[in-house]
Amino acid sequence: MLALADKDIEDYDLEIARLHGQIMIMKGEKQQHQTGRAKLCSLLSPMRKLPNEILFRILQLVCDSVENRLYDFNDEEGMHAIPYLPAMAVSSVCTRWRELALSSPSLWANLAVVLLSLYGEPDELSSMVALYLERSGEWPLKLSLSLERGDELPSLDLLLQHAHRWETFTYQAQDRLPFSNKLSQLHFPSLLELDISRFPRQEGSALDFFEHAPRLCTLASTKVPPPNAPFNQLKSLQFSMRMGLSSPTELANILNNCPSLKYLSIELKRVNQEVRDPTAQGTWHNITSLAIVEWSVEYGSLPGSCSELVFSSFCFPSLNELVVEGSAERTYTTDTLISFMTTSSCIITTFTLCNLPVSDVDLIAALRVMPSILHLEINDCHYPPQQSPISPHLMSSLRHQSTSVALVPQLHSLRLISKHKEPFDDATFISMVESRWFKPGSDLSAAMFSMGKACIRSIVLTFSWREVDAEVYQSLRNLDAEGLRVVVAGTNGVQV
Amino acid sequence: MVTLVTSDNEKFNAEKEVVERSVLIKNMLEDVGESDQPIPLPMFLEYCEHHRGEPLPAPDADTSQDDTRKRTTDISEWDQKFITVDQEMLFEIILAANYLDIKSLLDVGCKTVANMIKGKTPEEIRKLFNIVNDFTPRRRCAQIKKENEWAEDR
Repeated sequence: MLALADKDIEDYDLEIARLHGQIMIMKGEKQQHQTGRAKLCSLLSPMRKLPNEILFRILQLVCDSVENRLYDFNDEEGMHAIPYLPAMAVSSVCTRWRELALSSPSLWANLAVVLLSLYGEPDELSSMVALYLERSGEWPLKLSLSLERGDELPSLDLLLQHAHRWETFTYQAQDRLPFSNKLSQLHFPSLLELDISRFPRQEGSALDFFEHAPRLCTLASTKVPPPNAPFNQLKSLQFSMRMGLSSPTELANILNNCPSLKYLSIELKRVNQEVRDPTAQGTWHNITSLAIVEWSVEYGSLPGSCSELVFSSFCFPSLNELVVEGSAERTYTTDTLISFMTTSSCIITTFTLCNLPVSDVDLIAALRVMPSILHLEINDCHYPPQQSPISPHLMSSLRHQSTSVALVPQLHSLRLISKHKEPFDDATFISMVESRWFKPGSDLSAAMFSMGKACIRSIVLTFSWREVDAEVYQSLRNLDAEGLRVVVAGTNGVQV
Repeated sequence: MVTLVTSDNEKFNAEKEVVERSVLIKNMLEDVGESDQPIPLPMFLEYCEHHRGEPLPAPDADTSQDDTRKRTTDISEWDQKFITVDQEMLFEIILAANYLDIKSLLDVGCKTVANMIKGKTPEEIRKLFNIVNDFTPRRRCAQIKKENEWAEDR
């Protein structure tokens, strides 16, 4: 009996082992089927349908908008750095993407190198820089460089060897480093854009190093450029001078030396002389775009503002885009702007007012002297509600009246961004939009056109601290269905 | 007016000014001339109607160096609203915009996909778009792993 029982147990063990083997085989087969299924599913992936030229376009957008950030310090939070290396990430997805990425040097040409460690440069960093430089071939480089120290670093030497293909260069350094002096010995035949606005203030201008950049056309700086700066060829100039100008004449001299300048952006913290300096006045015919970052500026002992300096001293007859933004502590008045518009006789088509406490009455007065505005943007996010120009009075003034001359009659797009709950009046706003919308091709549209009133095409209203009642805006949803681009969003998301 | 016929034989009437945002249709209309003959194409009237009258991008808009402002993946609020669709539809829109040569719509579609990719690891990208990791296990995989090691160690 006992032997029989042992035999049975042995048989059971054998059967269990056989079944285990069977299970292993079946698991393997299941795995194969799962892999096959995943491959079949991927065949249905919409991404697969894209031809290579569109996929390349997408990858190019990814790699253009996020620089490949190579740095020499350890992230203590253990965060993975792959997302900071878009070219590396997209080339590691699958064979198709990899082949496309490796055959596209432009994807590897947007590089930010950050050297902040005081304890030497890791070998891997220079290997990565070398890899990017190799894969970018001879493509023009978009390079951003942040330096804490300036001794001999292999990565920097590698980058200098490719100076001939730097197309854009952003330079940030703590001091006038030995590396900076190496720059002055080089030629930059491809350089178009230079940003040295974060170069140390106590030293001379970093522009000294870029004497040999014959194609340079865009400059961002925190200092008055030296006399040997390549002014003649500049098309875009951005001053961000928190330390201020010694006098308005200094700015006038710079503009006098820039005959090709089209885009000008100015941020001034202080001007040492009286704002109304007759020697600083002048007319510049080529400037089409002006951006002013507004601060409370000291003119010697007089209070004033950066825009007062610019508007009272300069004249830009070809100006069509004007942006005024900043954080002035006192209420902003538009008197000098109105005076400037009158003397410049320019045709403004785009006007942006951002973060400035200006009254609705003042804003309306300014808009009256800019009847050619096509695109208007007002952002009231940084000042008290009582100082917001986005008021019922402004909305009423923007309403097309059948008899009177409308404010900004050519308005094509309106963008309002408000942080305030009050005193916004939904009904007045909706009524204003309805008054400006004429269905294209309709008799009303033709009649309004003959009266010089254009149909509005785009409306954006965004509240950062207020919910939007979708029911209230139903009529704008109807206009959207007719062809008007409408977006109304609040803290509860996009409602129209 | 022009008659547009979708692949499932649905007909739409649209104004010439609207449909001419598509360079393909514009060229077809120029070639065919004034005709009652319907033109077959997928429907993208909503986008074109909402962008009626907007200036068409220059043929060399992507490569022009005169505009020194940086290329970004910013999308206007209304276009974002329009393109908020499921993945299958998004790619259909991109393919149709490419076929019809509607540059602005193709741009919106590509930027949307680029924004979906930005900041993601390769594995996250594969998962998002249902892409199989088809690297051969040995050489290439090892090379990619080595390349990414430095970054992952940071």
